[in-house]
Formats: sequence, C-alpha cells, structure tokens
Amino acid sequence: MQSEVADIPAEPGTIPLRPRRRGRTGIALTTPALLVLAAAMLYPIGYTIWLSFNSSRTALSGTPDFVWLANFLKIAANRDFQAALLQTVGIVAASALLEAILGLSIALALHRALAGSRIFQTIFALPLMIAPVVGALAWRFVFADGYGLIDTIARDFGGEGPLWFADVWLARAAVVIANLWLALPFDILVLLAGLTALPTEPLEAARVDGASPAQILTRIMLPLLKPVIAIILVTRFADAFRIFDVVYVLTGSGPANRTDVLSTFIYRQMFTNFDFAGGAAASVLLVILTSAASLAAVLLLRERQGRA
Amino acid sequence: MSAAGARPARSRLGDAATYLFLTVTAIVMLTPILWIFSTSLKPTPEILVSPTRLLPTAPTLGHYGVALSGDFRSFLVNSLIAAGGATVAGLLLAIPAAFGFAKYAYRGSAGFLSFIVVTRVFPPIALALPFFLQFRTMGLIDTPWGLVVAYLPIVLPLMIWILHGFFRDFPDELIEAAEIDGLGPLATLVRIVLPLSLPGLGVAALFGFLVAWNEFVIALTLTRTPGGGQTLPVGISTLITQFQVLWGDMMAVAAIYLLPALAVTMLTQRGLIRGLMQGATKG
Amino acid sequence: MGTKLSRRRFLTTTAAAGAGLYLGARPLRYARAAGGKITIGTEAGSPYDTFYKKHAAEFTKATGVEVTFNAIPHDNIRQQFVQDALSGAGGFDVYIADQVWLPEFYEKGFIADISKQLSDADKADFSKTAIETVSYKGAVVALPIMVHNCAMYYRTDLLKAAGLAGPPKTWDEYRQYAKATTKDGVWGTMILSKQGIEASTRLNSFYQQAGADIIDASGKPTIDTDAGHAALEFMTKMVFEDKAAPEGVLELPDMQGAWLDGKLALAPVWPYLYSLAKEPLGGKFAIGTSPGLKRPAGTVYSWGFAAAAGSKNPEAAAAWVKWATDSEQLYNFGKEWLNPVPRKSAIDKIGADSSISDSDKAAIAAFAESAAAGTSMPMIPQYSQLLEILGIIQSGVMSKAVSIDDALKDGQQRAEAAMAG
Repeated sequence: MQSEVADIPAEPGTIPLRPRRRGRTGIALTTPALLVLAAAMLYPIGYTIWLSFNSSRTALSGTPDFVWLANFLKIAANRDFQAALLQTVGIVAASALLEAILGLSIALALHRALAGSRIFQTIFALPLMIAPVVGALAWRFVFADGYGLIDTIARDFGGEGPLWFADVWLARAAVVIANLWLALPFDILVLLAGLTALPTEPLEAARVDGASPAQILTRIMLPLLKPVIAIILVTRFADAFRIFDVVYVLTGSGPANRTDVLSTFIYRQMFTNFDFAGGAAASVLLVILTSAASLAAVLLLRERQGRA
Repeated sequence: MSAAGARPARSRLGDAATYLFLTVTAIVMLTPILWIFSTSLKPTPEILVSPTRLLPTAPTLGHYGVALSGDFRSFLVNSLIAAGGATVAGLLLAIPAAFGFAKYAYRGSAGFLSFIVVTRVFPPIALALPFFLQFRTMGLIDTPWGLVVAYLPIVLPLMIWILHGFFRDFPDELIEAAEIDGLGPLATLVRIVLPLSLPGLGVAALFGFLVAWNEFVIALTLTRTPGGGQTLPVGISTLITQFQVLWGDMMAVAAIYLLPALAVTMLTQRGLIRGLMQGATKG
Repeated sequence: MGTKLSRRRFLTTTAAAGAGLYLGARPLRYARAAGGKITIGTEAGSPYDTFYKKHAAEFTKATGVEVTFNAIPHDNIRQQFVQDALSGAGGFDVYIADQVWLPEFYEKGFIADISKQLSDADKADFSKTAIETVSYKGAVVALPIMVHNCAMYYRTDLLKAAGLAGPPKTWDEYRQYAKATTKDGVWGTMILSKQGIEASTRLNSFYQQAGADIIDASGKPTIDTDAGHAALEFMTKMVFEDKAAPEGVLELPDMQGAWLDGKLALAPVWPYLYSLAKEPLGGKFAIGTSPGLKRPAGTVYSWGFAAAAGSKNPEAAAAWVKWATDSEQLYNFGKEWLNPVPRKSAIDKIGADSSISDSDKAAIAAFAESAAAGTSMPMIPQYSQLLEILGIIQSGVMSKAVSIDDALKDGQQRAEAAMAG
C-alpha cells in the first residue's frame, strides 16, 4: 500500500496540478469519508483493542486491569483457537481457488454477451439477495443427512447420498460449497464490470497480431484486470475470514469442532465462556492475519504489474 | 469493448459450449433458491417430510399472508430506510474519497486507505457492544435513521475500496484534458470520470446496498422493536423459535425480501449491460 | 511548515474534530420513565411472548405498572441480555430466563435474588424440582413458568403391530422396541447429534439415566466415567448396531419432522410437540416417561422470569415475576399451551376444567409426571461451557470422528479446565 505514494507519476503529460495542490485536493476529497469513519469506528475499534490488553473483568466492571500480552498468548496457545485458525485458513484458501476458477469462467462466459446474458447475470446475483441465514438453511436442506435434496436426487438414480455432516471432510466441503454460493456473485459481477471496462485497443491489437484466445486472456486481459482482482481478493479475504452463519447453521462447528472458524470461536469465547478479553484478543489477531493476507495479495499483484 | 469482435464460424461451437456452461452453473446456483420459493408455498406438514421433495403438492399462499402482516411490513420499511439511506449517503462520501485516494494521493493517504480497508475486517460481533454503548449515548437506539448512521462505517469501506480499484486505472489523460479545460476536481469527477465508470459505480452501489440489506448483528444490537428500527434480517430470525423453525413463513418472508434487492440489482447493473451491448455491436 | 498542511497538524485537527463531535452530541436521554414502567425481554415467537403480551393488561390494572415487551430472536437472547447487563443500560427490567443461564447470571450480578417474592405457601405449591431449578446458593433467582423434560412420545399403533405395549421402561426395552418397529420406511427412534445445545441436553439426560451426572456432589466434573461410557455406547449401538435409528448428523427439526410425518415410532421430545402432533397423529400416540438404565426420565430444565439486577424499577420487576408465575397465570398458560406447569394448584385447576379435553388432560398429566420423575440440570455457572463440551463429545462420537474413549478423556480435560478457570 505504501507504493501508492510512489505511484504518483512524475512523467510529463500527466495531471498538471502541482503536487501541493494535488495533495490538498486529495485531502479535501477524502476527509469527509474519513471523518465519518473515524467518528464511528475509532471508539469500537479502540475499545476492542484496549480490552484485548486487559482482563475479562474489565468488560464486566469497566475498571482497567492491564495484563499486557497475556490474552494474546493465552488465545494463541488455546487448542481450539489453533484449530479454528487452521480451519479458517483452509476454507479461505479453498474458497479463493474455487472462486478464482469459477468466478472468472462465469464472468468470461457472461462477457461474451450472448443473447439472454442478462437473465443469467441476474440469476448469478440472486444468492446475495437472500438473507444469509436463510441461504444457509436452504443449503442445510440440500445436504441434510439421509433426506436432503442431494440424497433425493441420488435415490432417483438408485444410489444414496453421502452423509455430509457425519464426515469431517464432507462437512468442511459442505461449508466451502455453501460459502462459495454466497461468494461467487460478488466475484462474478466485479469481474464482469472489470471486463466491461477493459480498453479495446490492446485486445484488438493482439487479435490482429494473431494471438490465440488463451494468449489474449492470460497475457493481456488478466494483467489489465489486476486492480479488479485486487478488489476481489481483499474483499473476499475479509469476508471469508469472518464467515459465521454458514458454519453456525450447517454444522454448529461440528463434528467435534472440526468445522469451527474464527468467528464462531470468538462468539463462543465471548458469550458462552464470558471471556470478552480473549474474544477481543482473538479479534485483533484475526484482523492482523487478514490484513497480512490482503497486503501480501495486493503486493504480489502490484509487483508484476508493469507501467501500462 | 468486449473481445467478441468479428465472429469466426467456429465460435458457434464456443457459443453452444458457453450456453451449456452457463446453464449448468445457473441451475446449481438456483437450486437453494428454488427450494426457498417452493417451501414458501408448501403447507407446513409438507415441509419436513423425508425424503425432501422439491415441488409442493398442495401449494398455499398462507405463509405469504403472514409475511405481509403488520410486523413484517415494519421490518421491510425499516430495512428500506436503513439500507437505502446508507447506500445513498455512502455513495456521496465514497465517490469523492475513492477518487481522491486514486488520483490525488498525499502523504499518509495510503495509510488512511489501509485503515479504511482494515476496519471491514473486524468481526461485527466483537464491535457490537462498544457500538451499542456509543449509540446509546447518541440516542440513536431503535430507529432506522440510527441504523443509517451505523451502517455508514460498514458500507463506506467496501464502496471506497471497490471504486478506488476502478478509478486507479482511469486514464490520466482524460482528467488532464478536463483540467486544462478549466474543470475543477469535483466537476471532472462528475462530468468526465463517473459517466465512464458506470460498471464500477454499479457494483459499488449494489454491494454497498446488499451489505446493509443483509446485515444482522448490528441491527440486532441497536434496535429493539419492529415499530422502532428492527430490520427484516432480525425479523426473519424471530421465526427461529426455541423448538421449531417456522419454515414456511420464513421462506415467504425471504422471498419477499428478495424483491427490493432484485430491483436494486437491475438498476445498478444496467450500466453493465449497456457496456455489454456496446461490446457486441462494436465488433 | 508554511501553509502546507503538515501531517501532524492534520491528524491533531481531525482528532480534535472527532472528539468534539462525539462529546458534543447532546445525549438524548434514552427516556424511560423510572417507576411505573418496566421492559420485559422475551423470546420472539415463543409461547411466553404471545401469552404474556395478551395478559399484561391484567398486571397493569392490578399494579399500575406499564409493561413493554422486547422480543428477541431465540439464538440471540442470551447475547442481548449479557450485552444489556454489561452496558449497565437497564434496557431490560425482567428477563425470560433459561435455567441454564441462572447460575452464571447470578454470579456475574446480572439478576437479583427474589427470595422475598416466594411465600411459604408458594414454596409448598411449586413442585420441589421446580424450586430446585430456580435456586442457587441459597438464593431464589427466578420463578418458573415451565418446568419440563423430554418425555417419550410413542406410536401406540406401531408398537401394537409389533406385539408390544409401550412405553419402554429401560434402555434395553428402548433398544428392543426401536429395533422391532424399524421397518417399512419407519425408524424406531432417532439419536440427535448435531453439535449444539439440544443434543447436549440429551447427553446430559443419558448421563442421569445411567445413574450419575456430569458433575458429582462436590462439583468435580464426572465426564469420563462409567455413566459416560454407558451413555455413548447406548447411543452408538442404537444407530450402528441395532440400526434402529438413522445415521447422520440430525437435529431437533429432523426429529420433529419425522415424528409428524409418521416416520418415527419412539421420539423423546419436549412437551411443545404435543399440540403440533394432535392433528396429524390423533389417537395414534401416547406419552410416557423416558426410560433409563438406572433411573428414568430426561434432565429437567425450566424457563422462568428473572429480575434484572440493573433494573431502574426493581420493585415493579419483582412484582411482575411474582404475578406472572402465580396460580391463575400458570393455570391459563398450561391450558392455552398444553404444557405442564410447575404449580400443584394450577395443575388441579386444569384437571377440574371441563373445557379441556380428556386426552389433553392426560397429556398434561403425563408431561407433569415425566418432569416430576426427572432431576434438574446441575446448577453451576459453568453449565453453558459444559453443554458445549458435551456437544463436542457426542458430535465427534456419533460421526465416528473420535472414539468414545478419546472423546470422554478429552471432555473430562476440558470440563476440568472450565470448572477451574
């Protein structure tokens, strides 16, 4: 993100405003949003961070009780936290991979602008218009052990569906699939917007030069889509690290906490175990982790982008 | 604008393959939604039978009657105010901010942008209590307008981040030309940049709206009654009672809840389609 | 620095602006007139919510106190109450209270001791178990509306066809009956295993039925014990050996659905199911007490009203709790919702009421009997955490992810940590 500053082009023929005025314009443009965010978020975020350095008694009584890094160490050493962390990272990674493949494929397919694309586009946006808890419940019925939709279809073919929730890896797969359903619309629509906004000249030029569609895709379109991909990665990381409803409804974190994720862990820490400070510490760790992943993704993309 | 320029003959196979692919994926995407609609039309005894049958055998509109009853209408109105208000206010703040971050960087702006993006990552449940304390002090508990204020910090980071990505690669030459013509930054933004950024604007508006529309934890924390500020996601979860889920009613409410979101989608994605159409005819 | 807006100046200006904005916002007094008004937190869509909303006017007439209800979705009630108590907002004067929360809420100072609201006559009128479910460390921390456990619903027709007459009285009979009725698309019974509170309460019941409990008299956790082994073996054998219950991770809606669909012969469920089952299965089922190994009956839990310690109107709050659980209200509640109620006088009134059908009366009596035969859940503040641990154990075992021995050992470790922490 720091390279943002270096991005200000010094070459001739760019924005003619002198740097001083450019900076001031920037400040004027960004301050309203920043003020609103600061006023709203500084207290909750500050409170959470402050709480993570105190003991849980502080949440109950309001009087500070500094324990420095004790909460962080305790949470990091907590077996369940480690399991939740690993499982969350697993879900994020699996989702990211599937979203990349499916999201891009579907966006490209829609981008062909065949007749009826509009209908498809709306269908792909539908999952987001369903309240998340309802969507999760619907998927519960698709996967339900012994009588779900998948099972019914399998029986129609003379077989039997698997017991999704009674198997650790199938349960995880179910969570990933249900989460994918909720995540793909964002990926598809943002990619589609990016594809639509692509400049035509490079693509025309490449086609005239005889490049194959695959080459056009990988050598020209994808690199140009990097900002859009950055949007998606950072947003989706944040969402995936925070998934809650799908896990809560489908598996209750089970079997035996094998599908527990960071959000459900934090919820339990706070409201079942009354460990508010631990929950706060876990939240802070979650933020640090997600930010690191997002930063890595953005930097990776930034590195390979030449000056177009 | 699209790569679908001159269509060689072989692309008819490509078209067919594309249609097949889209149809298969669309069916999978639709399956849970079909279940939701079908359940909303089933009389309650039909819903929990095993094995699950997709279509109702004796459809009824009873659940929709419940879904349109007093409390649920209040929930819907509150949701419209909260999400609609937050989206509009969000756009007004996010568009200039994203433009500023993208084209008018200043010392520390990268840090501010990072801060904005990072605020999204905090799990809402962890922030609920301090949010509640803060809003209680401001007297904004249990009103939909309070929720508009509460949703701004949730909607803004997403919108700013999306718009930033689209503005970043906006051709500097066009901006420079506008400034040479004497347009100030805001005018440039409105007259030059926005009309050419409709796809990005569309997704920013849509997802900002949807995030607020589906939000649950903050709404639950900051509102108390349907007549006050409770939104439909909260209303829907009241249908999960201690012992039973009122499936039919819940699905009917969810189906109705889908409609405004669908309207916003069609509205904001129009810009996209125009782009698609342009691409198709440009070839 | 000149006219250039230095970063430091910018930041301090912003901080000052933010602080000013925040502090300057005149706090609109969250107007709740003290004295004369109370807010009751209930569970949205629950019988209590509907019933007490209907009858609250009577309370207002009797005491002059105005009542507002705040209905909260079931999965979020506890969280909302905790947040309200922590914030000192006094947003709730009365809580609808799950027995599970009572010890911990009292320990944390969220609810008040209302022993004064329980007269000697009341003590005699409430069943002993009922008083146990709301007592903690010598204090009375709530008054109960509903005291219940899972009774055994059984299909008289299916059992008859198998040459049996229910209900089963022991675990062995339960397995035998379930096996005999598993045929033609019907399952003998169902074992719930989704990681969550519902299945955990059933495991607690199995522990009690095996003659012990999850903690002993001194408060030491007794998870990894013979009783635990017996319980888990019983559950796994029913599903995997006898094949008398379906495999898979199942939850309460599944059991309810199967029962109402006629596909279940023996179903241990709470009293609420009776009203739903009357129509589809009228005349084909009866209700008994859940069978046990060493002693019968499911674990008893109660729902009642507790007075918030942070209430701005504690007398009115306590008055509501007393009124809402008096004989008249409980009689009406039991009558409307066909639930067992914890007062003898109310049960008598129901029995004497000719407008209630005989089959309904028999059902209510059966539920009351089932509850009377049961033992209350252990009243300890860490109970929620123990339920969590039971959930890990049974979901792991029933999905074969963990062996019974490992699950119990792990559970015992976790429980000891929870009780110590």
